[in-house]
Amino acid sequence: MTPETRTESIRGIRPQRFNLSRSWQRYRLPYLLLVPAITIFVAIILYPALSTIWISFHKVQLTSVEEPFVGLNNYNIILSSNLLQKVITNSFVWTISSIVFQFLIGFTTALILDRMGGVGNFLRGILLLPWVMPGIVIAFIWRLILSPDWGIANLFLMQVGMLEESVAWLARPSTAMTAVIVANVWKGFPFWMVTISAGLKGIGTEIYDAAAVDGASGWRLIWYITLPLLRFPLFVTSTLAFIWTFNYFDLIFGMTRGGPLDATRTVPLYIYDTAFTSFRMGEASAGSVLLMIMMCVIIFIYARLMRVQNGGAA
Amino acid sequence: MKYAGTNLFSPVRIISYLFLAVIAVFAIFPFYWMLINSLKPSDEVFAIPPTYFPSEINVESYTNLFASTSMFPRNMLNSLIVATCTALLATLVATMAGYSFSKFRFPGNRPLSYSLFLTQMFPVAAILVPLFIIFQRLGLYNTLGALIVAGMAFSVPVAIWLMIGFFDAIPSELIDAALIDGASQIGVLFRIILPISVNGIVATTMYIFISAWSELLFAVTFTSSRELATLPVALSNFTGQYGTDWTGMMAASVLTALPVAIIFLILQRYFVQGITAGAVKS
Repeated sequence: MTPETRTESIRGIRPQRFNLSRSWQRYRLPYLLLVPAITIFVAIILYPALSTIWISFHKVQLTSVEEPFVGLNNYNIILSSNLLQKVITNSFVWTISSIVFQFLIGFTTALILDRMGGVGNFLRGILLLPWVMPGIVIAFIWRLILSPDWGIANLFLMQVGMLEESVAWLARPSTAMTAVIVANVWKGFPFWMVTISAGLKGIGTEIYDAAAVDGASGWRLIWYITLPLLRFPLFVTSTLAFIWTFNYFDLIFGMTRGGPLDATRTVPLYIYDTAFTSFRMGEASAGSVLLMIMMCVIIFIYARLMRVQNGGAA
Repeated sequence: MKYAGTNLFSPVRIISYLFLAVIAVFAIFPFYWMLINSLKPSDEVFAIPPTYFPSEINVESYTNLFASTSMFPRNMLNSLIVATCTALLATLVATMAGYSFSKFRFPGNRPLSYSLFLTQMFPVAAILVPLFIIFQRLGLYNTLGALIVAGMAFSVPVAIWLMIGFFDAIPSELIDAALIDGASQIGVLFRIILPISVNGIVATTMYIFISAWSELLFAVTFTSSRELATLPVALSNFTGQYGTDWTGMMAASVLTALPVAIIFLILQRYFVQGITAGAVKS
């Protein structure tokens, strides 16, 4: 055996040593396959997200090339206005009311459908239709249903005695928020129903049988067994639903455009109108940064708990 | 039996079915109302009390949408272009990324796939201003291209998660066998992975098609001319010459909703997977 071949064979059995060109050889394909996805992410989400921060500290006008630094000026303007407070309050009322009612209806429906077998699956499919409908179509249908005088909702509520005279739901500041929330509950409850149904399938029947033998029944089963076992899917669903609802634009835009008198103006409509109706780009960006910070906090908590869950499972 | 109360007529059961019936009416009635009002003679929409069935079927609201002066066919074409391009491009990108995440071990696999997944929670409104400025500088403002590019960015993450799900179901033995037989990793993708996952790829494409078809926020922000309005934009500007033309609005709504409903009913199983992918899979 010549020395040369010996060194060859030694080199051959030494894979641990880090070698940049060899790692590249080995991982080239998986990384190359990710290039388009990551490029799009960086160009369309990451870079604009960082630009938003930059714009929020500058005076940016579409008509002017100069973009002077203005410090916290944009933040001072929006934080001192009453509108932002109202918008944030609206956003939380809209989001929390929507997801609470979506959960109650979605959970109850999922429980009932869960013990109906094939019929349940069929019904679940039909009931999912509102969730996939375009937001603008939903907005139109509910505008028609909630019309004053000739609207079917008014007629129904007067017939069952819940209303004495017809209400112009979407034209009155005091009722507009309720109206858009009802439409959003209609759209969103199927999402809860489906995720909860998927969670219920993961719960075996044995545990119910065991609990029934021990004398538990009805509400106690739901409260002490079903809900705790659904903890993880419910947690993830509520996080997603919270973020999506908080940022949902189409439905309110189609129903009220944030009116009347800003009664239904939530954060996305506020940003949109500040930027593209009033053309105050800096203020819109300052609002965007506040929104991103809020969402980051929520996503961070979500990611942490996901990791805890994964770690626990492994 | 999962719950106590096997008696068919137990109070719990009766209440359950009543509740279900109410929910079913709540979920279905608005669709019925949309359809029936699109077919009413235009004055009948304002009848007090409302009629539950049109006194005569009137399809004028539909024929008007396709009259020679109507922009509706143009809007439909725009939506079709945007949704098709977004869906095809996003699925292509997601198939590549999904193959990488699903079938290769490499440093950064998990963190990268998680970060991509988290982008579906990103607040879209927060990047409208910079995207608007970027598109203006690139000359993409007021083009359908802007809608495709922006739409892709937010469809790719969901599509990747769907594709990972489909690819994970393909047994590794199949791939190993092909590799031993001398196939390259790209060859494996084209000869084994893609043919097996055709259903999944079609479902993913359709899933994105529907979301791009319905997209409103980018479309109202990045296009301004009537010729480029997609269906959702056209609908949001839809008011008749003499007050609100409700039968026309409902007819346009029906035609916008119909493709979504049809695709959904055909691919329901995959949609449920798509919806539950993030929420239940850990």
